[in-house]
Amino acid sequence: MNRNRKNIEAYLNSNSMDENQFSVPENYFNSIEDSVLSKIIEEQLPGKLTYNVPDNYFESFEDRLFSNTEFPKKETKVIRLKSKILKMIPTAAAACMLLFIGLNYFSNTEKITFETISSEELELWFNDSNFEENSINLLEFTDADFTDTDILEDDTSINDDDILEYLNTINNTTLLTEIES
Amino acid sequence: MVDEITFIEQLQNERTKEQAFRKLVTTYKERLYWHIRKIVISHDDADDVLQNTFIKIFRGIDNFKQESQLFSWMYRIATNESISFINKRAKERNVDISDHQQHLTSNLSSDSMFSGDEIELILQKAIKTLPTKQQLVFNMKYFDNLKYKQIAEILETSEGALKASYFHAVRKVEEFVKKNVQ
Repeated sequence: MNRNRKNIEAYLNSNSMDENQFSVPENYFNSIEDSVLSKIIEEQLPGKLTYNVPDNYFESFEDRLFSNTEFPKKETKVIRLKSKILKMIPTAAAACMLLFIGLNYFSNTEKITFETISSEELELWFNDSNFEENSINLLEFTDADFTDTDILEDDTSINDDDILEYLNTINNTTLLTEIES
Repeated sequence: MVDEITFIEQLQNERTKEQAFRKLVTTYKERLYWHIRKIVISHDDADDVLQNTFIKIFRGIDNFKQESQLFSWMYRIATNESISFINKRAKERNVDISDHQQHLTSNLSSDSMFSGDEIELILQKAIKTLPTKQQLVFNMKYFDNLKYKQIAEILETSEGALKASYFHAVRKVEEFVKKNVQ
C-alpha cells in the first residue's frame, strides 16, 4: 500500500504530466467560464423543438427537387456557330493561300494564243468594243488584203457549216443592205 | 458512405455526379431542413429554401475547394439562403428583420405545423429576440448539438467568440423565458 502511494507520487512528480505534452484549443481557458455557465442555463430551458412536417415530406423531397424547373438539367452539348466559324478560320485561310498559289503558278502554264480564242469570243469582243470609224484599229484593217483568195479557200478556217450558221444568226436586213450596196 | 474525399471526387466527376448528388441529398436533407426551418419558421418557406440550397450546392460543387468539411460548406449555404430569404421577406413587408421574425413567431400558435406547448412557444419567441448571429449560434448549439469547432467553420468565426456569443444568447433566452412563464 505504502509502495503504491510512493509510485503514484513518483508518477505525479514525473514529467509525464508536464502541461506541455498536452494541448488545448486556443483561448480555451479564457472561454471556459462561458461554456460552463451556458451548460448550467441550458438545463433550465424548456424542451426541444416541436415543429412538424407534412406526411411523407422527406420521402418525396428528391422527386420534387429534381423536377424543380430551377434545377440544372443535364447539359446537351451545343456547338455554337460562332465557335465553329472561329475554328474554321485557319483552315479557310490555308485553303485561300493554296487557291491563290494554284491560280498564279499552275493556271498560267497554258499560253493564250490567237488559235485558242474561239470565233464566238472574237465576235463578242468585236461587237462589244466601241470602235469609231476613224480609230486606228479600223485603219489598220484597211491594210489587210481581202482579195487574198486563200482566206476563202482555206477550208480549215471556214467551212460550209460555219457559213450557214453565220447566215442564220445575223440580221437579215443588214445582209440585204450589204448586198444592195 | 465512402470517405469524404472520394465522395467529393464523385460529385465533381460529370459521369458520377448525378448519382452521388442523389446520395448527398438523401443523407443531408433532414439536417439541413431543420436548420433552415428554425430560421424561416414556416414549413413552406423552409421547403423553398431547402430546394434552393440544394440547387446552389449542385451548381457550386465543382468549385468546392475542400478548405472546410463538405457538411460545413453546405450548412453555410443553407444559412446564407435562409438569411437572404427572411431579409427579402422583411423588405417586402417594409419592416426590419427582427420585427419580421417576431411577426413569424407570433403566428406560431395558429400554425398547424407547430405542436409545441406554451413554454416551447415562449422559447421560440425568446430566440427571435436575439440578434441574427446569436440566433444561429443558439440553434446550432442548443438544438443541433454541433461542436463549437463545426459552428466556427460554418460561420467562419473563432471558437472563443462563439462561446461568448452562445453564453450571451442562453442568458438572454433564460431571462425572457423566466419573465414570460407564469
